[in-house]
Amino acid sequence: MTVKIAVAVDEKISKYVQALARSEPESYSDIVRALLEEGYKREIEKLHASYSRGEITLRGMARRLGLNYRELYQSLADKGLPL
Amino acid sequence: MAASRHLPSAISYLLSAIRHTCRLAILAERCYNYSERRDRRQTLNKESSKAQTKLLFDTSSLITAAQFGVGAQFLIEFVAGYAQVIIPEGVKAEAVDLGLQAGYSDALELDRLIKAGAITVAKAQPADPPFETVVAAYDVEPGDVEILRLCRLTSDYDHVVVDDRLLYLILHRFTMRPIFLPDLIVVVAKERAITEEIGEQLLKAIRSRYRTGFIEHSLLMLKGML
Repeated sequence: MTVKIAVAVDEKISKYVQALARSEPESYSDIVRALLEEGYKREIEKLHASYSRGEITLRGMARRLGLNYRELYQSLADKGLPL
Repeated sequence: MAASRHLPSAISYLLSAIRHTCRLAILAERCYNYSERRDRRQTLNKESSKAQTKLLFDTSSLITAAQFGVGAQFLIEFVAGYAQVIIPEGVKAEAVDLGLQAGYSDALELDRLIKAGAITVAKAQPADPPFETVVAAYDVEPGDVEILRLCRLTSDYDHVVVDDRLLYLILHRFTMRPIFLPDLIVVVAKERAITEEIGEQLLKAIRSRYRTGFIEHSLLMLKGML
């Protein structure tokens, strides 16, 4: 499921996305989406590392990601990240 | 005349045959009674073992146990056949209620086991003030607190099954007998509630959910090599 969001970003980021859009076949919104998804993926990996070190619980990780426990469990399974 | 001469020995033979038959009957009865007693004892042992073994479960271990199994039987069914499984209300909400909403088949299985009485849902009330103070200091989530409270309030459980690293550590510091799900499989096999072969298959079935090393470790424990 996808949702549309409108965000204001720093001008430098906007210039970077425009430069990429000129050199890549993807559209401006495709590039912004890819950047956001990459950032989200890194955040999950960072939180999972934090969980693995025993700094937060799975529930703490779920709350930080805005997911419920079930969604987190499935998300970790889909990404091949261990409990 | 000849017949009357043979009569005493015939009677003696007859009496001997009756005595022999009686002895056989007594022996057969004793064998039957022994067999019946043994069966009854085995049933009682099985029942008392189940009644005596009490396991508390956290959500991730419960979901994993309801998603993986051997043949047509899920791991949670093997566990529920071995022990009384207890979960706090928060774990039910996370594993069953949210799972049913999202359409997970393991949630259906867990719901079935709860309705069948194989899994009991318990309320985790706040415990004594010193305990609550320490738990608050850990700053963990409400669901984690429920697990800790239930352990505090349930005195006679055997293990709390948990795969969450930090929660395991806190439970261990409270000497609340945490156990990882893979190691529970080893315990169930050692207690002969499942065969070693089934235990091995179950460990291999859940391998994808664990960090490398966990299952290898449990497999060697299962085989008595550690």
